[in-house]
Amino acid sequence: MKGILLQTDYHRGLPPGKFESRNSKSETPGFGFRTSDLGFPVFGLWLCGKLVPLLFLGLAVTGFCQGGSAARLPLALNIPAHESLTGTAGDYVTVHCDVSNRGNAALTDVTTYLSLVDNANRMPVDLEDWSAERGLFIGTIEPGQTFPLDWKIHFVKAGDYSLIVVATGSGSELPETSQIVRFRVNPKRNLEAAKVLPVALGEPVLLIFLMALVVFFRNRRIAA
Amino acid sequence: MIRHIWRKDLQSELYTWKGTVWLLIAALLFSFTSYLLLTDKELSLLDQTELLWLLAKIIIATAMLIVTIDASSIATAEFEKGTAESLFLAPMTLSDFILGKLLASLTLWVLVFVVATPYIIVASSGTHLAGFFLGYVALFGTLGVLGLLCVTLALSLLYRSSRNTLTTSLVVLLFLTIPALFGSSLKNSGAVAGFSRINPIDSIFSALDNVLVDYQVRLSANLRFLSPVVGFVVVGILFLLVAARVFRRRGIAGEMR
Amino acid sequence: MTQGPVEKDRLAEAISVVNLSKRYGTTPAVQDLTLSVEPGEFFGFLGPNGAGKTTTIRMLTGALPPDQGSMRIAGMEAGRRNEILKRLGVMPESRGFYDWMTGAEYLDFFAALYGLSTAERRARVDNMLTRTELNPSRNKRVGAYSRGMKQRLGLARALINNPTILILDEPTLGLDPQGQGLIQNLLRQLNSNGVTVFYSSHLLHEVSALCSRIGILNQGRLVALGTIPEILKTTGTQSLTEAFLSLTGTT
Repeated sequence: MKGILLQTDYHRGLPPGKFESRNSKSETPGFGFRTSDLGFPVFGLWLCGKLVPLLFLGLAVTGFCQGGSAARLPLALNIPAHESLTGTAGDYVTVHCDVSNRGNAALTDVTTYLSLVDNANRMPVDLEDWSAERGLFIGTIEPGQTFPLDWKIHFVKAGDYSLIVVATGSGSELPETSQIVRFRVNPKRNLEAAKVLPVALGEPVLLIFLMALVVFFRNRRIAA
Repeated sequence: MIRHIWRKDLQSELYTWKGTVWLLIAALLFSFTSYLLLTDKELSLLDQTELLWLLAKIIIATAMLIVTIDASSIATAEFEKGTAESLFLAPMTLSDFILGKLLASLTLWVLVFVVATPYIIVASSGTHLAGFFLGYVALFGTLGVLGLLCVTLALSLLYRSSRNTLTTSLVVLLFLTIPALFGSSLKNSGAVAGFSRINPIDSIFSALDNVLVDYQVRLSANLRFLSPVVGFVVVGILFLLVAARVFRRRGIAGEMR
Repeated sequence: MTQGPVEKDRLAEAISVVNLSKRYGTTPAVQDLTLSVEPGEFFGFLGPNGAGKTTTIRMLTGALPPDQGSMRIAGMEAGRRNEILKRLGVMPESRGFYDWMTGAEYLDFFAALYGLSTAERRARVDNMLTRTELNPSRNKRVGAYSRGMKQRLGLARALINNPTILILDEPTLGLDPQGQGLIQNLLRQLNSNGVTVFYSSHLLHEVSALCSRIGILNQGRLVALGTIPEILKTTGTQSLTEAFLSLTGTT
């Protein structure tokens, strides 16, 4: 009941822990007395004593704290075959990650994120051009279940990078991470101007020369 | 007999500049394409293999267009210039005539391919794809051109007019080329998907995409693209046989009074 | 119709045609044509424009399939076309040339089509160019030839395979007197050497000068066949011109 009411207050836009005063007994949260009957210090102590458990219960109902607040998620994130990630700028590759629930209970609201770091410049990479999806929402993973995920990544720029997958879920404030995968993106191949241009310019000239030769020898054979 | 017709037509291509001008046009087109691939800002964002695929499509399309235009007049010119009657007064069969003309047109394709070869080699530099590029263009290009030539020669025998033959041949070529220009999403829908599967030109482009962009260089990986092209050749040959039959029935001087 | 001798054994004849017919749509071009030409004969085939002469020649050479009738050339049925053509020399009405070729190249090309060896071709080409007085222009492009030179080149092409039977359709059309004289002399020479000549023309003076026997075609039908004196006698006329006009209904 208290949790529900808190939720109502919360949804009215009031910050948690703040309550409107109510006149009728039925509107009170069922405490059995009015707050105005007590002195301020006692009231304050009482308020704290009531609010904290209420807050805790409220959080429990809204699911922010399930089974313990600081415990890590029993998730295992593994990027297999990470050696094959190396490619060339312009390539599209698929990063595969297996997300496994190693706990005894189902994990809900599981969301995974991809992070990329430029090792040479020691800076995170803005994934806007690299991947269409930065975050993939899984939802619920049953105990013992492994969820395969694929990210299609476009190698935009040559360089040395590290990749990591991070997962969050209800049951812990702390995320879980995969292993750090290091890979290289080689510079994009291009046409070699030093080879292409001589052919592009020279071949038509050569053909014209050959045609002129044919005409010359033909006309020499034929009387005017 | 076939050899003499073939030789005569090749000499005609050479000495009347017909063939040589086409080769020059092809070379200029390939040069322009290569230059564009090298210098255009947007194109340079593409990977080299995608540039090769672009070049491959240009080569195939150019060759098919040149060969179609040339073949439209190689046989009909004999009737229009009045040399056909003299020619058929020699002890020569219609098959000799057709095969001689076919060989002459195929030789023009070979020459276009020879002109394209240096462009292919330099553009493929660094990719180890030059050999495969050449091989698959030779294989699919030759089959595609052969099918088109059979259709064009058949039309020549039926129409005996270079203008009508050229118009119809170009319409056929256009009809076969248009689906290749569709985006992949449109190609996946209904009738277009069905037509795309049997379309020889689409199959040629898809095979080259498979080889150059996806690195599927083994022949077994590209056999599925070969069947529509081979089917096109078979249809072309059958059409040519039917046209030859009609031609024989009408007679060499059939349209003359 | 005035008729010549009774039909002999067709195998012995150079050209034998029985009931040959051809229609263009509903229009009859040749109707029930029956004639024969003896080996070594100089046969004239006359008729006004549109009479069916060219159609007849095209059927004889296999360029047009007849609708009905049969024919034998050099003793062979029409089905053996390639073998017939090896013995036949034809100068058709439509004379197209490969303008980019020289005269020598043109003759050499056709000589090759008859399967002659290189040495044979060279000798044959030289011979033909000499006989048609085209030797000085042998290395000129045919496109640069005058009309008369092209006519002579056409005759040279017809003779390149040393034929036993020569079929000529209007061979002197448009030629000056010198050109006509040259061709006529050449044909007389060939005929005296045993070559059968089937000469189609509407030039009566030429036909009367050259031919031993003639056939006259009018509107697809053979209206006269025989020697010139026979035809004159039958028609009761004094000249071939009068006979021709009376037989073709233009008097």
